Amino acid sequence: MSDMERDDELDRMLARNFGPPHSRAAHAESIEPSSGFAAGVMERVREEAAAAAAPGPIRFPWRRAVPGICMVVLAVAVCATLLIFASIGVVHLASRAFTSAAAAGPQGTMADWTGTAMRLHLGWLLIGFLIAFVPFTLSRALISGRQRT
Amino acid sequence: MGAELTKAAADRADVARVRAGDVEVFAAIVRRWQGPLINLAYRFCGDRGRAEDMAQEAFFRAYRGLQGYRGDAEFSTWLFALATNLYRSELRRIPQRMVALEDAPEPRDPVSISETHELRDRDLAVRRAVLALPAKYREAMLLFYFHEMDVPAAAESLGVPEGTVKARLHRGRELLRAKLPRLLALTAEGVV
Repeated sequence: MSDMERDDELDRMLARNFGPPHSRAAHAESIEPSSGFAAGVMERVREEAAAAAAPGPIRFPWRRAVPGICMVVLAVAVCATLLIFASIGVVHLASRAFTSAAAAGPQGTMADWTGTAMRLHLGWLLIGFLIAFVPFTLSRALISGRQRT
Repeated sequence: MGAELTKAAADRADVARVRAGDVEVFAAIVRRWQGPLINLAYRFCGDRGRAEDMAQEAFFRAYRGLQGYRGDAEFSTWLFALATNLYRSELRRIPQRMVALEDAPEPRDPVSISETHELRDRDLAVRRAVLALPAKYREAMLLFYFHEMDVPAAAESLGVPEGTVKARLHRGRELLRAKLPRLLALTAEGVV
């Protein structure tokens, strides 16, 4: 048996086993698609098409937000600076006031302490804390009440 | 030939409509090519369920990649190349259960068995021997015979030059001839 004959025979065998399903030579192991195959493909295709058609997420409006962000940063910086200077001033004043009050000795009267507190505006600070505390507690009470209902 | 031209024309029309946004037309493409794509997958993996899964994925990827199809080649050529690429990578990811080429059995003595059994036995031996070939020879052979011995079509599906396909076919045949000498001799003598 020549090589060419063997090649021809091998070709016939391989074409029968691996040829396309419609080929006359192919007879072995051709399979038909299951009944739901096309429907399954189309389901995925429709999902993909719907996802592609859906609008994308809205982009953050950087152009409009940038001036606002700059203002907030500036305000925070100014407030922080003022707070730092104010703290330094208060500490300085307090140390001087309490030093002079202590120097008055045990005979230092209640009036001295009151005068010191007045100079430091402690009353206004207390009122400020109270004003900040009331809306804080009120909002917390409202939120906790809403969560219970 | 006429049928092929009709299919190609139908493909062109359907592809244009799908690209224009008519998604439902893709069903016609699926119906036209589901048989060949499933059977090609089956020849790669030898498992009916897996073949359908792989073919479904191939159609889905074809839909997603349709905007990138430039129309230089026939749609079917593009589809087969995409499917072949997918099937090869799927089988690299999860290989089929295979026997080594040396372990692929030759058929039993054909004279002692009825003709039908013998034919089935022989086909099984041939399929096992081909599936046990190293991947590059196996893929070249599968696509060459699936494309009805069309070397350019097999080369396009594999994305390699025609000369490479021819060389791989030659080497694959050598390996098969070495594996199945008795079978080939018996068949040529007309025993089977």
